[in-house]
Amino acid sequence: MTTVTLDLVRDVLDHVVVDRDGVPCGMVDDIALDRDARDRLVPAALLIGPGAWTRRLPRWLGPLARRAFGARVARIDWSEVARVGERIELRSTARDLSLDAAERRWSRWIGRIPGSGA
Amino acid sequence: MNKPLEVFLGILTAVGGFVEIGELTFSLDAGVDFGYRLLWVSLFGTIGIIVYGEMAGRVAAVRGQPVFGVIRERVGFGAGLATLLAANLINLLTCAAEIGGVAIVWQLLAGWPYRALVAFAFVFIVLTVWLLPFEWIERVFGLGGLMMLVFLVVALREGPDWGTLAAGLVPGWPNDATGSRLVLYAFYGVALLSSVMLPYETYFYAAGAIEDGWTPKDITLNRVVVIVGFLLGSLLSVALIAIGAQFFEPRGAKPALPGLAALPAAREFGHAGLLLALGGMFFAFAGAAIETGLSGAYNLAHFFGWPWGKSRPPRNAARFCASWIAIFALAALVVGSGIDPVDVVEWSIVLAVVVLPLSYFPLLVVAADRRIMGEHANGGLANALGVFYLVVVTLAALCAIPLFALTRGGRG
Amino acid sequence: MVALDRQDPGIGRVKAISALKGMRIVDESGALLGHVADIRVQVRKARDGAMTPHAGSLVYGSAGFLVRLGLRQLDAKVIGWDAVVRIDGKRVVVRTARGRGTRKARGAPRR
Repeated sequence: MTTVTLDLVRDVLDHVVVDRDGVPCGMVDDIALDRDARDRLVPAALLIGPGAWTRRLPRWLGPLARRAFGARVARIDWSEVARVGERIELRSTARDLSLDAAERRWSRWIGRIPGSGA
Repeated sequence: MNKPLEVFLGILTAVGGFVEIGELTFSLDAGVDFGYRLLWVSLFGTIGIIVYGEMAGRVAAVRGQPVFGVIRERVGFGAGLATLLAANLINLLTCAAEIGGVAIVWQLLAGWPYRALVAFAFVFIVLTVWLLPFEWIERVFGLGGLMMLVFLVVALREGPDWGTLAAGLVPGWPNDATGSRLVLYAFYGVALLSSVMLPYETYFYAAGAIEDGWTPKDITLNRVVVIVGFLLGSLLSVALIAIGAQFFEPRGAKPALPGLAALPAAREFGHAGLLLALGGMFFAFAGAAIETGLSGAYNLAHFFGWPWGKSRPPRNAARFCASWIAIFALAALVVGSGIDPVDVVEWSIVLAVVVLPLSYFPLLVVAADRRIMGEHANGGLANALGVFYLVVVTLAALCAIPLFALTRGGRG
Repeated sequence: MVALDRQDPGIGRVKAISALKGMRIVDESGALLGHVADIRVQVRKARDGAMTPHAGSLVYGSAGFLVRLGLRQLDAKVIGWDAVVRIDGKRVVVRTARGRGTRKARGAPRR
């Protein structure tokens, strides 16, 4: 059992998230916070998706952006995090965590073009 | 591939890929209007792009991660998004200008209608990027651009006045420094600087480093390729200025179309010279179109954390692929919409200057950050040069639009 | 921990870090101490790799323009959660012990 100190904004927020296979599956667009028994805020989950980052835009821009890019948010529980380093590494694959929804949707279109491979 | 060969090819690729349509246009015009007086700007800008290109390559090699992701990490979402929008706006406009350039070159060769050729260029570019692996794209268009060395030979054969040429390497004002001449001189200076320091050259270069699998061990290689390649490449820009001064100015003619830059080559070497010049321009413009389009897609994918890379089959990097297809399509629409392609070139360069500081500032911050780069962070020299050029491009950015308006788009 | 009153201290209303970041930190008299820069947590890593974060402290400091651009280092100060009285609106109200300033922050250990 080791203890590490982490600064959430500096070390986690806006870092790239990769799954177990090293495939990028988004950036940490926000971090959901929970209140513990002693009224302190602890990180509960990573929030990934347009629903999360559009809320960091200037207030008037948010709704427009959500209309354009959607309001999807993937909530990745902290227990899914394997390692916090230069990249945030997850314990499962993007598929398992449903982080690949957007990519799969586009992949269906691109996959129709001959030569789109594997 | 063994290291010396890799370095050699890397340098050649950098040389052949150095010139794009904005640089060609403004170098020629600068030569026509001011002789060799603006040579120093070309070299000055080359050092600037070397400074930032080396930084970008180093960040990619050290972090094993694309630069735009690291930028978002470091300056945050808001500032990172502003940088993304700035860099991609320039990418889109530059891409449009280059596609227009390809269409112009083809029109000179085949005589087909311009708009059809724009559509054709779009298809050609998309197919090339879709089918060819990354390294092939780099090599083919970089080495093909070397055909433009014919301009260097032409410039030397015409016999430049070496004294005046050398004087042009020293920063200074034109001899006949009347008000409107000075303003025009300043405009060309700013435009030439911008065309040499376009950001895609750094961000694409860094993404390419990752596609090619660089590690911290490759940093020295990085420095050599960047410095030598870009310096040699700037000789082409110098040659174009010289051709403007030697060939077009005495005839009182300004090439209205970039393709007409091939005329001096035709005069010296006949049919072969013409083909070399036009062929070189084709590879240079098409290569730049591909690089700016891919650069736009890289920037988006890196900023939002999508799977990316030419090394992935398109199906496994779907949003990335859709991005570069969309960028090429938008660029083709812009330049094929009936706007004079030469205007597109001008606008792309002028707007590029305006957002240049925003595109480079985060790169400097990231490369200088010891927490991100460890022992490979900027040394004193890189920091000093980085800050110096950032100040220069900021000043240029502030002057660009006023100068453009005052000179009525460089028409004096 | 002693809650000064039984009213909801408002901490539960902060749902995400983007909301907390940049909030003003004031003492009970309303004097500005700085802006929230970061949340520091202790993460315990079990042998099977599972990570459990435990609350640590708030990192704050001046939110000057230059600091946000990254040109100047944040003069980071740290305050424990126990000192947080409540969070209302856009402010974090903290209790500062008289005569004892908050600790200066050391950087988190390099990974």
